[in-house]
Amino acid sequence: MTDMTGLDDAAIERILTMVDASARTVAEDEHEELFEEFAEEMRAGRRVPGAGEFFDDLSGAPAVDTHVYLTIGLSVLGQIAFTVLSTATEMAVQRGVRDAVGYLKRCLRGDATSGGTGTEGGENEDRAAGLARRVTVELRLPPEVDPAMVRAVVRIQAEALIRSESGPDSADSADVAGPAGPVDRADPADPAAPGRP
Amino acid sequence: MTVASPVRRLRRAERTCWTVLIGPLCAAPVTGASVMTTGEEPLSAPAAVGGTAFLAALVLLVVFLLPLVHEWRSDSLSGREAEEASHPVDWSAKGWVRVRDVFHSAGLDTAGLNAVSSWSPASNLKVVHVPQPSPGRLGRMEDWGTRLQRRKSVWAVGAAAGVAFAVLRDRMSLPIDGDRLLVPAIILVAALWAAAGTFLYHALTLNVRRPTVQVAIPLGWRALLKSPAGPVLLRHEISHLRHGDPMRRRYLRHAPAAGKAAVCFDGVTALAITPIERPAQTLASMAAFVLTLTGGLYANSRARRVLVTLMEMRADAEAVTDAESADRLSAFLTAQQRKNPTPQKADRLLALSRGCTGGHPAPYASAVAAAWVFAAGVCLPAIGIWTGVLDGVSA
Repeated sequence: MTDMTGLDDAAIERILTMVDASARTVAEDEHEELFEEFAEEMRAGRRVPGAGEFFDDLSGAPAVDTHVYLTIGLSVLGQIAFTVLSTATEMAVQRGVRDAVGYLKRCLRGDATSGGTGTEGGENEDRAAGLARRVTVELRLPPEVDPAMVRAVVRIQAEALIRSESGPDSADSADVAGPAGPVDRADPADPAAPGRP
Repeated sequence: MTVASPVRRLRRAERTCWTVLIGPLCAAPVTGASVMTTGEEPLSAPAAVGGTAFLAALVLLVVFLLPLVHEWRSDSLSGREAEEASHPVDWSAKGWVRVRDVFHSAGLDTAGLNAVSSWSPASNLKVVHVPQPSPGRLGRMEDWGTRLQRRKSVWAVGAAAGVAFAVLRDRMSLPIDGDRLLVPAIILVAALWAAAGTFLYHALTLNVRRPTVQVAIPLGWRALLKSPAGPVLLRHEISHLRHGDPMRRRYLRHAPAAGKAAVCFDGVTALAITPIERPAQTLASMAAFVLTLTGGLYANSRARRVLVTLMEMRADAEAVTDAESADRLSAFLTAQQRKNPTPQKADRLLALSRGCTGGHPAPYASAVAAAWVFAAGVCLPAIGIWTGVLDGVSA
């Protein structure tokens, strides 16, 4: 799933859940004003609105005009959510994890182990910080976007997805995001959990 | 009146820069005539002026108009094939009330506005010129022509065929008599000229007389207008719309090339009619030529760059309605400058800080000075010819 068009119903609902959760934190005004329209357009078009190529006339007007980039909006949050989901699906296969949700749980556990510092580098990138880095590179986000915000968005979206997929019972297992919080209980169904082969 | 004053000065500055850009082209008939009315086979003054004017029109066509029309065709296709569609704005919808109010407060009636919305993630407000294709079959032919031109393989095949023809033409012989091809060739050329003329007519009618200019408002602005700087920035974009800046920016992509060609032409003609009989005269003429050429080319480049800044400054001046909005715009530009410093934003911040008092808002003094140097280098010899002080082209 690398193309943000032709999405199936399950993917659409997952992405909307992730966008809904992250927009409430980082784009409150836009969430209040536009989320319903965003969801409607996404379900109707089966694509992430704003993810495609825009017509840009060659007169250079946008290049020299007031560059208005005040905050991440719903479209960018949708693209981040899509990329997180597709990357998690891909990495789940590589790591032998059951599914994307399982991989995201692993990332959040990895973050908790490192204290959520988001330190760069290292071979094992199974952390939210590593995921955020891949998202930034793959989406070619502009330099105005704060990397710390992208990490926060990825974390919020991952938690929201885990919560919605696992249900309220697993809400505790999803709560690994505290910066100084302890590592949570391992998910017994997760084959990649510590102690399991 | 304090708001109108900087706007008037900026518009005057814009006109000056346009004069610097196209002035050499306008001077070409006179400077060219100065050469053609002297020498061994002088032409009459009307013939010389007419001939040079025709040459200037040809340069304008090749260097300015044809690339512009080509750009329109390409953009027209890109606009219709873009993945992300834009949707007309429903000004009566509740979500657009705030935006509509800002337009009305800026004196623009939204009912007559071609506004579209999109989910553009970049939050840039844009005033976009969407070129229109010729109607019917001609338009489809234009689209196919554009698609073919975008294919590198077509260029490669054309270049290879051209080289092959150049190398082998002496060894090739046509199976039929060349004279019998004359009439069909003439008919074909006439048909091609007629088609080209029709394309040009539609291109100018649809994109100059009746351009489709859209205000593209990313949906995110409905929320962003809640921010303090939002209304000021929207009024800035409305100013661009009001003054037709998208079309001017298109012209600005191609007009300087015609201006530069004219600078070279004027400089060479001035050199041709200055005396070079003695070494001292030769040295002085060459020095004047270098100075004239440098001044003209520098003025052209500088005017082109400054014009864009002037348009932005004028839009800032029209967006600012009071001290509070000026402060908000300054604060916004300062924050943007911190993230991504550019000379243009620095100039705009300086102009905003000066406001309506003192100091010239336009950073174009060097362009004007260089233009005067060029004008002196070109006009003085021409005046010398027409007043009889100089003899003209030397043997």
